[in-house]
Amino acid sequence: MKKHNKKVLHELCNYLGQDLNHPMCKELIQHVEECPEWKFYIDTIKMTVNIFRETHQPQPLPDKVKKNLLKTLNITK
Amino acid sequence: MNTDRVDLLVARAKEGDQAAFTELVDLYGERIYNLGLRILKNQDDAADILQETFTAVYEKIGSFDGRSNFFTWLYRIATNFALMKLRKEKKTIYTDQDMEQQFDNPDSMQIHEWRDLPLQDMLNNEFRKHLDEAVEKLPEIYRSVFILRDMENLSIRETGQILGITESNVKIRLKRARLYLREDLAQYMDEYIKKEHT
Repeated sequence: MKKHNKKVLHELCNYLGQDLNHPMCKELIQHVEECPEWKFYIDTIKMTVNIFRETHQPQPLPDKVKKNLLKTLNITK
Repeated sequence: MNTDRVDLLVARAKEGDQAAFTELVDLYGERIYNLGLRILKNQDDAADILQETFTAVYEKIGSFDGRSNFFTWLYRIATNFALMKLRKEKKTIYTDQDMEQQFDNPDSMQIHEWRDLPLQDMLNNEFRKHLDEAVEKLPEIYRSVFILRDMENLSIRETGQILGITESNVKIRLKRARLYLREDLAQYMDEYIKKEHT
């Protein structure tokens, strides 16, 4: 695990849906370091999540929608 | 977000302070609207979820006991409203069993070469539509985890608290959702490559 600091390891395990200390996670980290196919596999999972985040950036709350909400609640700002 | 400030606003809102409640709307309204958008993919539906959520919170805030934090409580209410609306309208294409069979069997997975694709060029409306459709194909239990954890960027713990499931279940569902979406994307990438080369 010499190439990975704790943050990277944590992120990796997180993408696998496991805790950092989980035996399967430790084993996978070792595989990833030694196996290009696994590295590719993990990279594509990360890319998938990043693509979804990039294409679905938060939109501003329209003023009209907010005004309607406050009106419904009978709140005048 | 300053939790002391939120706690103070909640305490004041519980006493009927409208200005404090309005500030809570200012703080969280946009996030709830976007949560609705991500689950329901429709601006009118997202506006409805915002209305329903804050109306319910306005009516129930007096009974909010603070056992969970306000943010988690608010998100739980919003998520429930959004999922209820989804259930009324949605036809699930894949069942949970399909997902388990597909993704608990590594042999069924294929690794596609798409890391070097010009992703920036692909980020157009057609691609986005395809991504939306891919998320819509996820069974609700996987879709909700993916949206809360990966798109709303909540922690595994928060996601579990909002959905009322264990952290282990969050992880299992998240893994399946990610694998499904990754595979769907990979197929899209393959088709994109074929088109580019013809």
